[in-house]
Amino acid sequence: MIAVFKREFRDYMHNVVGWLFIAVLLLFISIMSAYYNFLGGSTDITPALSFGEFVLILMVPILCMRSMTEDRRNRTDMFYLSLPVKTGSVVLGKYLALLAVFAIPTGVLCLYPLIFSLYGEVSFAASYAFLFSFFLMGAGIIALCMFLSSLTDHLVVSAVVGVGVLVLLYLFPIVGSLLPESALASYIGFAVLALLLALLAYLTTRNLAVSFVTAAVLILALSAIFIWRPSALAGTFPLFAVSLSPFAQFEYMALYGLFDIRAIAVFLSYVVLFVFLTVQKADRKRYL
Amino acid sequence: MIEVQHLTKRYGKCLAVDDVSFRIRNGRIYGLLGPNGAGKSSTMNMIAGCLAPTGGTVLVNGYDVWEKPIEARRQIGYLPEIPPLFPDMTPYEYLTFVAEAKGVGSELAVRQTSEAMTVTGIVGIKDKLIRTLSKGYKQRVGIAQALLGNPDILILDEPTVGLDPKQILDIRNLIRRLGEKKTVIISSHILAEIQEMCDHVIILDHGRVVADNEIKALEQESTPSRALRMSVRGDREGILTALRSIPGVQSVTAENDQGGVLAVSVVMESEQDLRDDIFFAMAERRYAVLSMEMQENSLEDVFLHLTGGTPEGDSDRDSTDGEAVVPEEQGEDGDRP
Repeated sequence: MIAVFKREFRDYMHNVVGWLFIAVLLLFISIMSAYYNFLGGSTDITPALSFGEFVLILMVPILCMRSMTEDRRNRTDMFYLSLPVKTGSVVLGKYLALLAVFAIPTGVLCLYPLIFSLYGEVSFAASYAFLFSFFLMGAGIIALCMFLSSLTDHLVVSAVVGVGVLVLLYLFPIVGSLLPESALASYIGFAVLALLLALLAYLTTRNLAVSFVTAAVLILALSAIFIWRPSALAGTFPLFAVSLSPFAQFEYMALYGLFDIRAIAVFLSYVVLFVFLTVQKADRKRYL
Repeated sequence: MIEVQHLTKRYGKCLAVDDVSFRIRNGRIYGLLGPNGAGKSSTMNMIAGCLAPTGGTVLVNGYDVWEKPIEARRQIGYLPEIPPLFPDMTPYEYLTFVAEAKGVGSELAVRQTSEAMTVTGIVGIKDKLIRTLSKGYKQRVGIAQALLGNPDILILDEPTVGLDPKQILDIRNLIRRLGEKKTVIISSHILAEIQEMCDHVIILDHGRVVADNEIKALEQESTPSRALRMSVRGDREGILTALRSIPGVQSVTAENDQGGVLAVSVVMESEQDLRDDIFFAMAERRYAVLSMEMQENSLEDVFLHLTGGTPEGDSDRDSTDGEAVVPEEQGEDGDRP
């Protein structure tokens, strides 16, 4: 794992993509910080970091596009499969390298509250808790984009799909909130989600039976709830949509100035789920 | 030692490897030979642990590749058909990374990297970017990475494919040197290559083992030689008449006649050695026998006999190149459907 981490990290640092990611993220957050903090006379880093969400939506897919795709192109995926190590440790090495790249601008941003403290009162606990949440949110969407890069052989496709999925995740709570609070609306919303999950299962395993069973079980369970206790579904989809979107969770924290454990749990769930799925996808090549 | 037992691989409806069993003994060079789609790469991938079999087992030095994968893979150095290289690294950086990824300790890694570079002859290019290297050097770097971790067994999938003749000779010499210390399995569709480098050949056809033997033994046991080639000084018709009159001679063909020396091919009816009779028959008529040799059966004959091909190429297979009877594998996963 350490060898893979070092190689990947070195690769990002010898490549324009790593530096581009760091530079763009720092540039835009710094511009917003200059606007809110220096021109606005505030010592709160939250508004500038909230803007950082949009930079992440654009830049994380570009950073992650090579992580798994490049191995398929270079045929180095076969090399990793032949190594006397578990596939999980290879994927983890790659993921940690991406996190290390993301940790660089986050580390620089950690200096901002110290700079603000030269000009006024700063709540360090709130600032660093929010920076920590920002890092965890980034860790979650990096895991998601790494998984997306394992689904295709093309760098551009990987990046475009990544941006598309992140934009969808960003809009998901808005779309959810537009749905009526009726049980039927939630039933339809969850059914669409079940189908998307089945599609994800197919993309990971390339097994039609697995994806069909996933869709069938979820929709049957959903239908059972809808028939016997429709009141249990009423109004749940908009709430679920907010829970599912890391961006909504992050904005909720920014809005209320809270360090929300539920949001942290959502971010960590993204990390665990998508690193796990990436391992399954990488190992899947053995079972063609 | 590798024991492959009832190995089967199915891709959807296509049976790529069909109940293959063989045993690889230590310290020898084995050749996996077969036409496109024969199942060579799939078999090698399954031995190296990169591909799960549909059925059967592979034991590498006693470790089951699927039950004890880490231990089994530690015994093997694997070079896939396309060398798994990172183009933006130098060979030295790449090999250092591979050694570390294989869990070789740092001091040992330095020594093994240095040895691998020396053995494969890449010391001079160790600081150039891999993307700038020729195919031959890339192949050497690929072989060097397989040597790291000091595995007992080297599996090299089509190690000379796509190289120019000089590079092919260099890689063949390198493999022969490696075979002095390690067990080497190479796959190839080039008969001459297997014949030249290997001690033992396993011929695959349509996913099945059709032959598993020493090369020499295979040549002798399958199609015994019954042809003789000779050159004789004298008049053409007299020589041909004399040869045809010898009991046991089935046919006589004059090949060319230059400066009174006739090159002639004699086919005998059975495996009986008629060289004495032919010599004395010629001497009696005062025809000088300048040379006479039994025609060796080549592995090519054996291969064609076993796989039912023709020298011009199977009707259902692709075209052949000058050296190979078996067609070139096409695409990077040539053995896959």
